Amino acid sequence: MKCRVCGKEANIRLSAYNTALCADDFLTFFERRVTRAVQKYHLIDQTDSTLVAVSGGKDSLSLWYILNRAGYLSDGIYIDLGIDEYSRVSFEKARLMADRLGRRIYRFSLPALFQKGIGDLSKVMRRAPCSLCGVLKRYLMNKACIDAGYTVLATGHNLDDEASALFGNLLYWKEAYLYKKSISLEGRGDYLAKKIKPFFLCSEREAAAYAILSRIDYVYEECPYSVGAKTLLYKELLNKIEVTSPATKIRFVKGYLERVKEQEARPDPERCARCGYPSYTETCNVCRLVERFGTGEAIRIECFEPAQATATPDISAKADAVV
Amino acid sequence: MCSTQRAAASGAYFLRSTARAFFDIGWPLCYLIAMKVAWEGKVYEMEKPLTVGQLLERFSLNPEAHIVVANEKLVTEDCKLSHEDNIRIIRVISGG
Repeated sequence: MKCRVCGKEANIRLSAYNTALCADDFLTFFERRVTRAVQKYHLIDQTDSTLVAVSGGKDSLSLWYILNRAGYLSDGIYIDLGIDEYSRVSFEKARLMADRLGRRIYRFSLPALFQKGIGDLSKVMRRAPCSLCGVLKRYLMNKACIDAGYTVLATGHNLDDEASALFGNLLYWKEAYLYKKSISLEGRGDYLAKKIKPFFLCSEREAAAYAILSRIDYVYEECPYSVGAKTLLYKELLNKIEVTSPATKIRFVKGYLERVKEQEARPDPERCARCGYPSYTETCNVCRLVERFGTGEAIRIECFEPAQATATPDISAKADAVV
Repeated sequence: MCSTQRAAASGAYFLRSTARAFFDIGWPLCYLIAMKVAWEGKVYEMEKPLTVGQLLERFSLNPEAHIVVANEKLVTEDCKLSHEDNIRIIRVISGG
């Protein structure tokens, strides 16, 4: 298979675009897709300061790397869920990237606040770990953004994440959630940061290929609590369809984006009476959780400076690490 | 000794010495020529060289959810792998 751009031996076949590319041209293609999405959907303005939600996985680390290469200088936030070795290794990878980019990384530690990891906390709460993790991450990342003065929170959600969530919501007709997903969710005043998903139209396979070709050291292991998650089943089913009918996932998600435009503007969310952050009830879930299981300490987000400030790599230059 | 006999003798000598070299160091011949593939923390041996597409089929893996790296390079499904290659299969789908 030959690269469609230069004719050299191809390194990746992109069946959704009916093409194959070599390492150099794939890196350029992927970075251009992300930066075009940022510009087309007005994800980041020149006045914005961006914080990237970093898990140590391929998507978030690649996103952080690309945004900085593209000149959208951004810092990272990592949530330590207290999953023993998995959390330790994940944070190590996130810090390596922070050092590579010369950017700051923030960390919130769940065991520091509750003296429990996500597993034990979900047991005492009788709630699924993934559901609790979602609640905590949404709250803490927004809080970190607002408290540290960032205007935009970027997450590494990719095409497969969005397609599988959409598939699940349609399958069970969860209309309350159906039209809530978007490539960008506007912020509200001083209590809700704008959320963006620059990888919305990039597949998980493309993000992994980008990470490997850019020599990004990410966590290959899966979160131990995601075993048997329905999302994985939906992704598997969608990928089976994708193999026989290429570009199905991107058409599915793009079709959704066209339809979601027609929906009404979202009303302002209510605010928690205690912390002031968004909440559907008088007191938000996290405030109640801290009250019941907290050690009495306030929520503390640590800040780590990079080991040594390095010049931000430029996206216009050739990728420095090419296989 | 005629030239045919000499050739046969040297051939037999070559086979004997090669076999001795393998067996003296305790490596079975099949291990040396097998194609080794790293997947999910284990190393698997393939009896004969395959293409990347055939390799994924052999493991019943979806090419949309997996990437194959040979000698630290990404390779497409039509790429022919050999026993000398350092091959890894990487799963790209995560819980999300």
